[in-house]
Amino acid sequence: MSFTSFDFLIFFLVVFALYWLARERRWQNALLLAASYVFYGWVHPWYALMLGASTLADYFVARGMAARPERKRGLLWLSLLINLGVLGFFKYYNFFSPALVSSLNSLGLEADPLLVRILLPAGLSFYTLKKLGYILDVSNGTLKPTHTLLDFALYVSFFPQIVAGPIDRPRSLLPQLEALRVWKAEYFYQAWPLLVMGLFKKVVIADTVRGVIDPIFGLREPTLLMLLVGALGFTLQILADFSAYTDIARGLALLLGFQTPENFRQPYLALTPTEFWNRWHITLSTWLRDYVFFPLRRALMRSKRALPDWVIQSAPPLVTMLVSGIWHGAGWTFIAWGGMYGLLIVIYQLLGIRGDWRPSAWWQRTLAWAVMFSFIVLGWLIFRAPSLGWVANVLFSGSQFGAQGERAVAVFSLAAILLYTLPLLLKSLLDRYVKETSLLHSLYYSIATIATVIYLNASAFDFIYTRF
Amino acid sequence: MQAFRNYLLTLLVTSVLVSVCVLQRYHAAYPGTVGPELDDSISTQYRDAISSQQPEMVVLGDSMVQENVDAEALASRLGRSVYSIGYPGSSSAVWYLIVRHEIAGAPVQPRTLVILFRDTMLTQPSHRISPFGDQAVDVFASMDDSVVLERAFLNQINPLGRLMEAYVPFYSSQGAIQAEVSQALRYGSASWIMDCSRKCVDDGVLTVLGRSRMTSETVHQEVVSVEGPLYSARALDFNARLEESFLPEIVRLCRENNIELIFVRSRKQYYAGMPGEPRGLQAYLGALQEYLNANGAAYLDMNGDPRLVPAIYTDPIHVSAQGRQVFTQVLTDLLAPLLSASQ
Repeated sequence: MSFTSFDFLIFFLVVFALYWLARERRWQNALLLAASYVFYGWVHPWYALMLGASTLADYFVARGMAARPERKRGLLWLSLLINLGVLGFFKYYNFFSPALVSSLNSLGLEADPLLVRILLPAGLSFYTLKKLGYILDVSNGTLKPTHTLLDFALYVSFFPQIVAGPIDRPRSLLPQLEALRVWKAEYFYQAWPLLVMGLFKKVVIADTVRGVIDPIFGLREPTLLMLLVGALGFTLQILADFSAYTDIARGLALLLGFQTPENFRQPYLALTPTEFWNRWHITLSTWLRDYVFFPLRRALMRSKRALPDWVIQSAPPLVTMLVSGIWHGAGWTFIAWGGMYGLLIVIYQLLGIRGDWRPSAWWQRTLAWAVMFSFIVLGWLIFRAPSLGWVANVLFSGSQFGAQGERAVAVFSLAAILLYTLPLLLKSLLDRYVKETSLLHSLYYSIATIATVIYLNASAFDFIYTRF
Repeated sequence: MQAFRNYLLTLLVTSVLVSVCVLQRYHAAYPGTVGPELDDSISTQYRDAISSQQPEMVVLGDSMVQENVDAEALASRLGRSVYSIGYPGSSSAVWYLIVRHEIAGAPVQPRTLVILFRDTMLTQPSHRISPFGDQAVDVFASMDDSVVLERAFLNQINPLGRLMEAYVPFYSSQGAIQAEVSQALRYGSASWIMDCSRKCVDDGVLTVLGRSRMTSETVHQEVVSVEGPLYSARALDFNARLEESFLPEIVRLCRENNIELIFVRSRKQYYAGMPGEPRGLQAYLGALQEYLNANGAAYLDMNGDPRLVPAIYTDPIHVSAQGRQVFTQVLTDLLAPLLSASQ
């Protein structure tokens, strides 16, 4: 069920009404849990079964850790094995299946790779990280396991977040689930701008730009100019699409009385790769920072063998970014994308440019931004490309501008991308320079609403990050 | 609170202003009619061709007929004249209109009509039809085709959509507004920056973004996403879908006009995200076959034929130039016994 569908509207209105009618916390949580499982199992009910089974496993693992601290390590490994095993199987099976198929074929067994594909359960990567965060916190002793299965199951499956985040942390969401929630008008006043902007960014910007750039990435041999336009378009599309999802998820959570973390802070204004990751998909970045980067750096620093400083400095960002790439999907493009950011962070560090670097001269800031933005666009090009070979082929042996028809396609695609970038730029300026209660803000939201209605098609596309 | 109140007031004023502008620009009525407005200008291209050529058999379907079937080879192998209508992107709504106006409505009708379909297409009345209007339906529908309006369009519009179509002009005119914005961008930018005319842009789009220049994975994905709705649980429930589909109408028209009707289920190479055929498809096909047999229509299936191997396909439904001969031969072999029996 997509957030932009009529089915979801009806679903949410029913849940919303029943939820606030149930004035007791336990009933509210029970209703939300049921709603979350209906939402998650809407298309494939077995998704919900799998979610339930893995939730039960982690609930009992955490309880076991609290009851038998001497078995903590073993239980932690068990949970890691279950969670990463399931994630690895569903996410990377298709990556390795061609090799499996060719092995079967070599044994004389007929197996068509297209017939043995396994469907990745939506949101698996997201709720796996939520559960792992909980287990790791309990294992470290920084979090006491919850005694209520209902609360834990809801923490994992909370429907506004389950498909594509934000990846809320147990220390933030669990206390809210354990507290009584009473309707306040301010929930609505905080939620509506998020919902209006989320729908506008998804329906008007992301889906329209998708229609412009998908054909470019579908071509066997686009020209360099088309490739550049496609990369710029995807840079806009993915920000609009993913931030739209987050805005809607946060808005819905607010309507149910929950504060959830922000995921984006104008990421394309970053001057360094570290700053970009502090602004882009913030909940994933902080998860990776806390559970991969810091532990790895601590382990390297405490290593019995004295490691050279450059290894201690370089290995954590490289590994963390590679993990980020692999988490996004099974494919060399994602690994290269993550690896590129790892390398960039290391290089910037070697140049003495830290994440919070902010030169005083305007031209230095502009130059740093232009360089970083170029890297971001290059990163998205790799991320979106059908394969690394495809990118290399276009970059190194493709035509630059092509014939008149190719130039015309590139020009009007670029015009569309620029047009649909304007509303986001305008919103940034309004947020920065104009008071929230100003008429200009109201006018902006009104026009955004009307544009959303104009672009609201019956068959909306899925959000990009629901694939991960 | 104040921000929300300002927003509501501004939204009200801007909505009224935009609505007035839209009503003026597109000469729309208020409240608007739900669904597209059909007019009486309809194409007669196939009717004219059938009248002049007087084929004994017509083969009807979508791009699969256009690309996979060699009508001349089929005619020579079957020993009867064949006229093929492969309308790309069409589905049962358009096929019904073609049967009604172009085949049954032709002064001289063919003896046999063969409809090539895939899986549940015959009982999906709104498959490939946008609720805001469809070019193919515009081409073939007349004002008295209310059945098309009801089954292909209105059935897929939810209650909120119906309300908005009637009372929110910028929602009901969204197709026209989007097209205008897109055309202004497309032609305006190309003309302004590189002095490229409309024709130059259209030619560019046709040559650059044509299917022949796409990767095979892209073409696969496109086909798969279009065909996805054919396999929902609802789509696979034959009895529930039958009465709201165009199948009974097509059967009735052929029976009334003494046209022998043969449905041929074409072979599809694979089903995305499923390890083989979707569950429930065989039950659906069994019910379909039973219905057709009970109503005097024949049902044939290309799926069992071992000659239709993956190597001849260029995507899940279309075959290569060489594959065309194989596909046509398989179709011939299926049709021949039935046609000789009916002779």
